[in-house]
Amino acid sequence: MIIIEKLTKRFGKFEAVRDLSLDVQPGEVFGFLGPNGAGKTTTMKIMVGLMRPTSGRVTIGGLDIGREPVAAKRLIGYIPDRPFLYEKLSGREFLLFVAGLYASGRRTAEYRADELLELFELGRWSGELIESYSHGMKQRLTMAAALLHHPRVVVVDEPMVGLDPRGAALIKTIFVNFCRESGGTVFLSTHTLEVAEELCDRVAIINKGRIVAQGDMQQIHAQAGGESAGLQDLFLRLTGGADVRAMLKGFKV
Amino acid sequence: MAALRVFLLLLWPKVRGMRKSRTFRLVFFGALGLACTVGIYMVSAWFLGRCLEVELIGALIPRKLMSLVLLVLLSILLISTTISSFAVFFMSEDLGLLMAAPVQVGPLYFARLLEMTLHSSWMVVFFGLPVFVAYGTVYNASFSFYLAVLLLFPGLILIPACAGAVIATVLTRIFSARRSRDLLVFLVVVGFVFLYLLMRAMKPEQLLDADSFGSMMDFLNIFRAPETSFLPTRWMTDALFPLLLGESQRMFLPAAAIWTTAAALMALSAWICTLMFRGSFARAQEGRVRSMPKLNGLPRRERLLGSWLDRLALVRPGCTGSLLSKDTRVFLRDTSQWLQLLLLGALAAVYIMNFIYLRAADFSWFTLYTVNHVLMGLVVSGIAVRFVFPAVSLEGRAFWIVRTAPVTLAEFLHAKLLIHLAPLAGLAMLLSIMSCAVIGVPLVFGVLSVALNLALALAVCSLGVGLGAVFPRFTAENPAKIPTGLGGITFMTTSLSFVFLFISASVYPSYVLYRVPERPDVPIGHPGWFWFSLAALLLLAVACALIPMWIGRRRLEERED
Repeated sequence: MIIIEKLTKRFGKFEAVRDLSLDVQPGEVFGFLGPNGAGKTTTMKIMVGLMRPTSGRVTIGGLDIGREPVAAKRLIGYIPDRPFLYEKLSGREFLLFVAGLYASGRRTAEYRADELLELFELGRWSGELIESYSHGMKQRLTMAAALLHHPRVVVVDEPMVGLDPRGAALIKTIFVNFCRESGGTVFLSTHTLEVAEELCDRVAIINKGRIVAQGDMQQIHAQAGGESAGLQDLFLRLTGGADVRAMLKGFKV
Repeated sequence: MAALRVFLLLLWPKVRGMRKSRTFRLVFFGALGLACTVGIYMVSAWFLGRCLEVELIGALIPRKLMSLVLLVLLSILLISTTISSFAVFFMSEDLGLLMAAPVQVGPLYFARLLEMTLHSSWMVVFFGLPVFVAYGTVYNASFSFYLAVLLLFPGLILIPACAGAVIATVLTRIFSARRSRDLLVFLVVVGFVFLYLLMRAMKPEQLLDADSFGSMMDFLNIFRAPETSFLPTRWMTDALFPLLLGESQRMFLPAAAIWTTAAALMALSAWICTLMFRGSFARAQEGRVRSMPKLNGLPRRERLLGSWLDRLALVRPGCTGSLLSKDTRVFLRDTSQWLQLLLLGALAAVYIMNFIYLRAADFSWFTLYTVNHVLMGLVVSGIAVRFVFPAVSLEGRAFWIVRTAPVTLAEFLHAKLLIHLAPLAGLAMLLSIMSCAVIGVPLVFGVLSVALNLALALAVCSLGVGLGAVFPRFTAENPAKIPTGLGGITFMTTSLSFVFLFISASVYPSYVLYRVPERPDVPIGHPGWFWFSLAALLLLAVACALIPMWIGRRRLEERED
């Protein structure tokens, strides 16, 4: 469903993503892990057409995002890490605006918007201006907008930021159902390794723009040194986080 | 000492931020500013020189003029410092962090006061000082005059700044920052529109014609009208004018009045603001958002509009309906944006009134018809820089929604063009028809005028959307600031150049049409010129409509933020 081939992105002399290749299957929740500045968000922005790669290509459902951006974007629902929205619209008006961009029919759009507002527990606030929403509510509204047009792929950057435990549980269930029941694909980046372990069928760990490990949970555990070692150990070992204890030596918090 | 350290520490990030400005911008704005300053100085010096040559009243005019200039500057300062105070004292993003830190309110108040004063007064000082230099040159003033200007100006500026800070603090305590600012902007705009119409109704052009007054005494009385002695502008005039005339001993009392008032107001405002600041800040946080009643709770008319806009959002094909629906809602809900419609209304009224006055004078209809096109070009450019140029930037940080939707940037820009062209062309057509009716032009020329103005509106609108995409400011917190940067100036320069070329190209074919029926036996120029002018008109309009949109699309596609 998602094929990334030899993707490279440079900003001047700085190489944010280097020769990255991935293949994500339909019905899969794929975790994209890495420390801050590793190249996760850059990769995801290229996947959804917000950035153009220096070289390499991304194919979504067989459509090259660089060559057929409009058709490819119809298949994608994107949830960025920071929910910047049109603050002077109400939640429902915002969803109808997004439905208009995706050329949805009126009845379908209105029905779907109301359905998603209820699902994300925003029904009571649907007539309120977005500027009065909390961060978590805006995040949930962004997710509703991403699912509005029945995408086949959801690309989500840090899904759990700003969500309360109830909201987080809801999102996890929605993502799992989206993949298991609808055959959709979720490509998510997260710093919360527990979320990755709980949700993802496969993960890739990126560091300094390169994939340093990937596979399903069993393979990851094996790479980490056995069943007892977890994703965190591997993550820290591969991304240099193991030095944390040494860094803290002698430092009083 | 500790308070001074905190005060300097709070200013440090602002100074650092200023140093990050790009060299190109600094050079561009520096050159433009220098040109403006020199221009203002030369015009002022020329005008003052002419005034002094006028018999009887020549010596009175410069003093009255200085007083008027100062009054205008002070009024502008009071308005801008008050509006800035809401943003700087209560709505700034970094206040949350500062209020959570163990920072005393006193140094914070003085740091913000200094920031706000510099921010809102630099332009007034920049454009005001050349006028005073011109006074010094014309009167051959000594060094003491220039020194007095430099010493007294900061005191004069501090007076409205302190008043603005107090007004903002008190209003925020009562109404919350956002609502107070909206209320104040509303009052300022209504006041401005009223004064504008009043000024126009007073026909100031009559001042140029002393014969229109009943007697010489009526005319002289305008300049002798007493001014209240409690105004700081009066003190400033009383302090500076004696220096121009070499009577330096008379300047000390008014100069002392300025600085003692400024010092007293600073102390008073610091006391009031530090006392009320925490309460006002808390109130500002409560009022940061505005809730909207449920759809069913709205009055029938608004419900209908809402329902109609919902339908519009889902009109297919393309994204024009969705963007129009969204832009209309955002426009109507943002006070700072829809209030500008009042200014537009006043502008339209004054525009038509001008032609009623000019028609009464002894001008041929063809002259007024040509002047009408020039003025229309200026009006359309002025409206476009306010409403069309910011169209792309107003998408703000939410632009990612359009970028990730199955909509090409060409579709997006064309939708923006259509949305803004309809009202702009409508207004141009309306003003064109009304002014032609007032001037009394023949029907053929009326139709020609409408056609020319529609083409002009299309070209200027495309230029606005296109250059708005070349110079987008997605992170601008205040929409009113979007046209004030490099992009806005580039747009105005390009737009006015286009208007000049377009109207120049239209004069010749119009003149031919005007003369031929009257004197068909006399050939006017070469026949090829007529067709050449028409071709130039068409080419200019098409080029201006297409090229900026193309460049704007390319620039937006290249953006990666």
